[in-house]
Amino acid sequence: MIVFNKEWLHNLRIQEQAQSYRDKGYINNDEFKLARQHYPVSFYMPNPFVRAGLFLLTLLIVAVGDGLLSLMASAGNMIASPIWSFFLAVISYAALEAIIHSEQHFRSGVDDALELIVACQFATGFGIMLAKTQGYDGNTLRLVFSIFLFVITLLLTLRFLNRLTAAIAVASLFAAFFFAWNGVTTAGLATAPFLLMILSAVTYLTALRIGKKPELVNYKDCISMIEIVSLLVIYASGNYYIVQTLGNVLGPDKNVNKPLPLGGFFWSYTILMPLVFVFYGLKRKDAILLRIGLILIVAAVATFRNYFHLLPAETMLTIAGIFAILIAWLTIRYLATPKNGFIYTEPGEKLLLDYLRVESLITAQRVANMPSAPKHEDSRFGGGDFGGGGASESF
Amino acid sequence: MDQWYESLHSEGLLSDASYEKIKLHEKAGLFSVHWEIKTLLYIGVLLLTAGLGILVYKNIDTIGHQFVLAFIALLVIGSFSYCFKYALPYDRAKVKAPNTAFDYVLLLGTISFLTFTAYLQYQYQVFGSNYGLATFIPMVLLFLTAYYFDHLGVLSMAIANLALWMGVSVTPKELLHNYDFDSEHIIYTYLLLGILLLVLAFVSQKFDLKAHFKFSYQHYGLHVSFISLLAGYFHFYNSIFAMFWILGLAGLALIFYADAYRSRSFYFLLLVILYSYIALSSLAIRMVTQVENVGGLYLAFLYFLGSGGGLILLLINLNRKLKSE
Repeated sequence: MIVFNKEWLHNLRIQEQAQSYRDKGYINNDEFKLARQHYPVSFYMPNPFVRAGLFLLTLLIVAVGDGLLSLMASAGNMIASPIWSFFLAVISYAALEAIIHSEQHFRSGVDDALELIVACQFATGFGIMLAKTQGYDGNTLRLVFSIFLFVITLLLTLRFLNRLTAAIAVASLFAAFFFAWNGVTTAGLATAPFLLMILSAVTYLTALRIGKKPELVNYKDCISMIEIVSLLVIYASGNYYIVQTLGNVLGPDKNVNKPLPLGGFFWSYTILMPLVFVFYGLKRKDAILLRIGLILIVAAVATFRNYFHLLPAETMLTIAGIFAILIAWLTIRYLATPKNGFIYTEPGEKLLLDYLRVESLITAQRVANMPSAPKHEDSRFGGGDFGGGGASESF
Repeated sequence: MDQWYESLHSEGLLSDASYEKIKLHEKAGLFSVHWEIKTLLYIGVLLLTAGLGILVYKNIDTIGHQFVLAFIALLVIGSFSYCFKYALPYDRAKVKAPNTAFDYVLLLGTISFLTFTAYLQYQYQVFGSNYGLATFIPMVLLFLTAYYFDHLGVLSMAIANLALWMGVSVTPKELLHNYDFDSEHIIYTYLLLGILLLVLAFVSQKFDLKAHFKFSYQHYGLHVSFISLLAGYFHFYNSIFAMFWILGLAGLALIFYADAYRSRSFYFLLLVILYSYIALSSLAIRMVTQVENVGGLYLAFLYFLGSGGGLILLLINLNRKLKSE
């Protein structure tokens, strides 16, 4: 089912592991080179920059190529029909298969781009088809479209191990269940949060379980994506703000901000769930769970602030900043020697952030928001105004 | 798969010592929270400085703001004395931070310091209406801090402040969102800034003065130079001078293509190639639009198909070449 050479995928994992051991100093460079010789990989895998370049160029070429084809076909009425979209999708798919088979591309930017394009083109064609059908209500159409999107992205993920299509597949699966539930029961909207909670929790636990299966080892990255998406949905389906807003948008009486029934339940869910994630993340030493939990703490605070203005924003920022620094500092002190299986840092551990020097770019963003060489007397120095801009844009 | 080192060991490819080290590591199963802590520290610094800045700004002319100011001053003094105390001695080469917190303490001190000077200017007009001086002094201090403590983040802030002093705002976001390329004056200022930064990049490497700062200088310098050259070309689109801007761009591209190739920097290679491609395409479009029927459109499509494909092959070949050498 997987289009890539499985032996190379296996060897690639070994090489990556060996490299991390070398960086940490457990094995020396000669041993690393020997391991590489013994487990060769012949994929074409360029570095991230070339990958980004190839990705952009592939998008350009497909856009232009399809444009040229459409121009040539524009004489007939063909391009308005969904068939045309499917036709372009098939061409893109053929190109994708060809480039992988003949040039051994693997996450090179070219295959990443083509996989997304194929998914988009099939979805567009199907969307046009649905738009032309009559006699169905909006909910049914959305349901059918979600199912179609799920099938197409699932198939692409199974064959090409693309993490983005994996994420889209899970998301569209949840959407399909949501619309189906909404169409079947009259109280669909009111009970949908609970359905989604159960569904996403089941998905998450399933992903955790199948993630350990040795026969699915090639799908490990995709399964991690499933975990991330379902964790986010677990939280979103019980978050007070999201439930209320979705109820308003999709419900019969639009734009009424009435309090949710079972408000106490949703509020405790909103506040406590991130803490539960962090707790279990630490307990199980699960990096995904821990990080998602930390991010969701921010979401919980933001949700709370949206309803209760206990403190002005700047005071909140200051206090939160002091707390964050304090927690970090205390943790560093506490983990000066490894404790309970936790360690502050391992030698040779490389952070993506360091590699791309993103941090220095984000910092520069803050200064630039200071008013530049003011032209008017009254606009001098915007006081502390530059700090605020930076904080909100960086994340 | 997890036990691959077992087979490697039994095949004799892995020494006993390394094998034992790996086994010990696997058994310990330590979980590193490095990423989490670093992110938390960074967010903390950003939130704290942002919050304090707004606090001062909003409470100006009330009694409370004296307290906030004192707090900011304390932060600056505290952070800098910490940094002076723990910093490793200055060196022309790269100096490692003595501990993880160091970089963030310095960042906290520097940003708080900026807030403080901004306040002094706002409230007491320390620099009067001399806005050049008001941005020049923080800039000099930022550069000194960046070099003395060897901090890339502060260096980026210093570069941004340099741009501020020269009257332009230079960050990736600002470049994309402020489309004020129409004034000749701004284009020249940008170009000057870009070239200045590229010279600084060259100097850093040539005289081995914090050679690792070259990346930041060159990163900003290339973006600013290329964008201002392109802007100049479009500004003078209908005049004969447009040619000089394109020639300038071609020259810059050639120089830094060679430089990136030598230093094997894929990032800069990609930058040079993509900016040159934009220039080349604008020339091609200019020619194609001379054709006054649908044939021109076909030509444009064919150009993009051919050139895009060629560029992909070029990138793939470059990647292979640089890797194998």
